[in-house]
Amino acid sequence: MPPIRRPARTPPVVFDDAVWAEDLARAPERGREVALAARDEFELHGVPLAYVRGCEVEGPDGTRLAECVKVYLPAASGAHGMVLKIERDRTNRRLRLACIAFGPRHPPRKSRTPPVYEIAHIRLGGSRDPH
Amino acid sequence: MNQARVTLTETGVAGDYVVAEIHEDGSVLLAPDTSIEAIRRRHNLKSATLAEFEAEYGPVLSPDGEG
Repeated sequence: MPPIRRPARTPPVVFDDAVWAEDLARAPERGREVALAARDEFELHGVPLAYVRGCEVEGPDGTRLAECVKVYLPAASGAHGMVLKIERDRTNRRLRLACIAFGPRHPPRKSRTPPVYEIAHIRLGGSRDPH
Repeated sequence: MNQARVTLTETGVAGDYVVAEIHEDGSVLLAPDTSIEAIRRRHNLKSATLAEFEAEYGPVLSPDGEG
């Protein structure tokens, strides 16, 4: 029997409680379920590298997400997304991925919910209306 | 315009906040500061690059034009 190979993984993901609370407060029930399951997995093991995709330095809606990566949830093409900023731990110098936004990739216009890319853009210091 | 930032140290409400609203009666509404600067302070992080990440973990999937 061939050995079972675990997929190559990234470093553990850092979740900030304030960010997490804000994003889950506006997520629908299904979104919260997806987010909580992903957090459990990513905190323990990191994100499977096969699902990690680079973000656009400048996205189609004017969002600027340099040095960020993203995953779609549920993997690998779900309706939600998580944007992760590449960071380094000042104490042990190890790389970390900081979750800076969770939310819908393409929210209905009438929902008034911002896309995950816009949330991340604002947290990185971008303007509130990137268009 | 940049939001004013406030740090509270009192037990139970300690943390970084931004001034979300200022009302006519002088009261203010604070919201947790979720900026990348606040995240870095709370978790002792500093910025790193995609090149550093890929050198250590390997290439990620290419951007797909979505964001």
